[in-house]
Amino acid sequence: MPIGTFLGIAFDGLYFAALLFFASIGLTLVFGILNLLNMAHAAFYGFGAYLAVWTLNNIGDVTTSTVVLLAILVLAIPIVVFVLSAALDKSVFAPLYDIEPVYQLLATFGVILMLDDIIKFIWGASPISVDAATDPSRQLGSIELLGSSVSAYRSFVILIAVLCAVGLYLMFVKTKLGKISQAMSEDYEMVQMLGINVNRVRVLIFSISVALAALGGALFVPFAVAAPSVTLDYVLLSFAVIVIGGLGSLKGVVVAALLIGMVRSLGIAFFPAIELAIVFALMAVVIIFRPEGFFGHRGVVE
Amino acid sequence: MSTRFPTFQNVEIRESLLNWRLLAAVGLFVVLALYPAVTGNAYHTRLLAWMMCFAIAALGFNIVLGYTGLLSFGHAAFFGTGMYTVVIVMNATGITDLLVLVVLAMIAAGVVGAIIGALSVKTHEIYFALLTLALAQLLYVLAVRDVGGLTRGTDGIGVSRPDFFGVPVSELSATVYLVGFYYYVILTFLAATIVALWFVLRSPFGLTLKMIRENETRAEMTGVPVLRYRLYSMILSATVVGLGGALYAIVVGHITPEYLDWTMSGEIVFMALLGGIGTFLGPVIGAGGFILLQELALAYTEYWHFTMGLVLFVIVLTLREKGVWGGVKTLATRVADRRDDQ
Amino acid sequence: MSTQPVLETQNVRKEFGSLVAVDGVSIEFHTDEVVGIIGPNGAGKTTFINLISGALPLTDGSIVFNGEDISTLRKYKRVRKGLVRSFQIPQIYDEMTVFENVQSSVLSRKQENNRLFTPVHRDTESVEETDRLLTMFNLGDHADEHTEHLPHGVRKVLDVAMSFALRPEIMLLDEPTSGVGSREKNAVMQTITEAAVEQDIGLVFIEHDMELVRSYSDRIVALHEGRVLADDDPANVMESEEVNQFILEGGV
Repeated sequence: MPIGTFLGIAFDGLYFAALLFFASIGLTLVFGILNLLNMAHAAFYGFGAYLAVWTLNNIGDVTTSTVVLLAILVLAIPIVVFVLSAALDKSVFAPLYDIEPVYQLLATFGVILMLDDIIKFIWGASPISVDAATDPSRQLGSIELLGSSVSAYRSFVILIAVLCAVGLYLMFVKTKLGKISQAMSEDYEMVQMLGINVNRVRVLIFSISVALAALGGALFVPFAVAAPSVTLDYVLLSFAVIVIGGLGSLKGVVVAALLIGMVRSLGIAFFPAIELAIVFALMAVVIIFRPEGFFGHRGVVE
Repeated sequence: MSTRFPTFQNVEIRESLLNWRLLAAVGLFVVLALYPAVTGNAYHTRLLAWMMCFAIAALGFNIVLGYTGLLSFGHAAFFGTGMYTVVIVMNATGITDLLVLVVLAMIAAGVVGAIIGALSVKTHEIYFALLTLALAQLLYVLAVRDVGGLTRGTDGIGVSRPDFFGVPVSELSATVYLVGFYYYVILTFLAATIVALWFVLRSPFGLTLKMIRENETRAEMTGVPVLRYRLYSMILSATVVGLGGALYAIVVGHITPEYLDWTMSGEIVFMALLGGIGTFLGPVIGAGGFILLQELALAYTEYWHFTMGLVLFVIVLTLREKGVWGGVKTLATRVADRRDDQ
Repeated sequence: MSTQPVLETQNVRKEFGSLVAVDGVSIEFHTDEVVGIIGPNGAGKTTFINLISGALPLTDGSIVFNGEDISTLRKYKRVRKGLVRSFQIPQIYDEMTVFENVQSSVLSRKQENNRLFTPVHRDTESVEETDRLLTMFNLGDHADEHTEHLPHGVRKVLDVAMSFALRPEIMLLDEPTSGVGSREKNAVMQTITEAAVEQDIGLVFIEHDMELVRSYSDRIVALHEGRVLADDDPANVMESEEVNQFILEGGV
């Protein structure tokens, strides 16, 4: 096999991993810190995807500047979703924090169904895609990397994922919010008793988590269509990532996203028939033999 | 001793309640039995047949969730196995007898239940939910990609109508087959399932499942091999769900991997929860309610998912394990109590 | 006292990492005695019971029951052989009635868990036995109540009644009177010990209340830092210098 092909596969794997990271990181944080298993998390990935296509296609008349387009994807959409999810946390999700995990799964399954139709109501049932004129991935073209030609846009997505992972790590280690969150993941009641406003921390963590999922969805669409199936696919993929990595672990998500990204990339290249089957088999094997995942039960950043 | 046998007044209430329930059940079955003949409405008959198939599946599912206390998100695997077994066996072996096909489908679903159960009964709560989800989804992916050449992938397979004890009922027209024959087959199976499970879940076996649901440590310390009984529960549940799937396969006439997908599992969970997982008949009511709700929502709006999602969300936050049926029962008791007070 | 012990621990040892919780304990238990286990917190009392019941695996040593080595036997199999325990926090079935709670134990003892089709309330044999047990433990008034909202003392007695329904040879009780009001403590112990004598069950109980231990034990085992400090008649144990130094004066 030529080395170029191998690099291409590895690069695609990294790109998949970046998207999986965005789709899953918030899911694991909300579970680890706030004890909420939010099945509807991936719906925000889907929402981000739709919002991105719509925004890019409507901004075309005003500007087609690459910088503006990228800023929309990386900044505008996450910020909008951040505000929106703060409102959702106070309303829809607020009553879910105190119920049993099994009921959380069921209630948030209901939320998926609702969000699914809200998306259909706004953007219709048929898949939509980014116009060529405002597609930043076309504008950026390709770059040379280690002697092979790769998509500059995909490299950008990978870079953003790395920055987000590092940023989150620093947030948990350095900032007050991060330290309180870590303490909450270990002993929620204790933090509450210390007189810290846990509700405010909760809203922040939830909104950051959801905004990251929307960011992933937004970055995803220049290379794919926004369709209702996006949400349903990523519900399962993101569960696979956080289970394999260990529920509640930041490092676990990074490692598991890389693993699944590579497995999918290799699978598509060599075993296209069973590429997804490998992911679910891996997920099952991890739960059976190591239910705590690679890095579970060790806090958010350990 | 005296406490076991309630006072005279209570006996009276209990007996009349029992009679009332039995009467209501028999009445419902009579109505169901007469409906197609009296109205001749093929659309309604089809909808009722559909509801009854899912009522069987939801009852079977609730053995695991309501009685054993395990949330499975993988029951589509058993439902789909039941469906695919009917068509694959029919096409591969030329067996066309309905009963043989249904029994084979139940066995196949039971075997899949035994495999998924054996792999997952050691895990708890969300891990059980996620593991059953992963294993069932594995089956779905294999069916979509047509690994093994059995399923024809996403195109699906058409199902021809089976015969009955050598009687060539399959030669009847589709509508007559459904309204005149197959509807009653499903009704009979539903009645049989309800009666059989009513007894099984009240037997020492059923009590053992409840012990495990309520307190696993205690059950084990009472000498119950907890894991083995969880496995039994999964196998029984899978078999019953497989029956529902097998019967449904012939109603829809075309099988695609959709029926193995996790959203299908979600729908089965939804039905049981809607009716009430803490009650025996809740899942039956829930299956009927779910399909009715879906049809109504579809008639008025294309956004029926939203309606369903909202209902699920509200039920989880308000009625919980009681569901609609449990809620009605509680309400009835309260009304009766108030009448007694006056 | 019979000469052949029913239950015997031989050099039983349990380590949690570098911590040695139980350090070579060898004790014999018989069916016709009530043994009180005392010791300060962290002495290894509960760990010792967890080892015998199989809740924790042994690090070393062995447990012999009726001449058979049961050191690695699964928990439920030990129960079926006649080695039963109850818990400090009552372990009962909340969404079932008191009657069902006890009947489930009766049916499990008879290993009838896999009987299908006979409704439990029509199984005359187990219903009658359950009624007898409810009367014996004064639970009759609560028979048809769900256990969820029962007062703590009643839950505690129910837990013990469920263990008695298993007709064990040896019954291990982890603080049978914890959380029970001081006036009822004697009544609870009275009920338990009488039932044990009647059914020829050997009792082993952990207790912090020295008065209770003295009144109801035929023999007392004092544990300290995972070792046996004393194993003798109540009078001798209570007078032992070491016991006084480490346990009684330590203010348990």
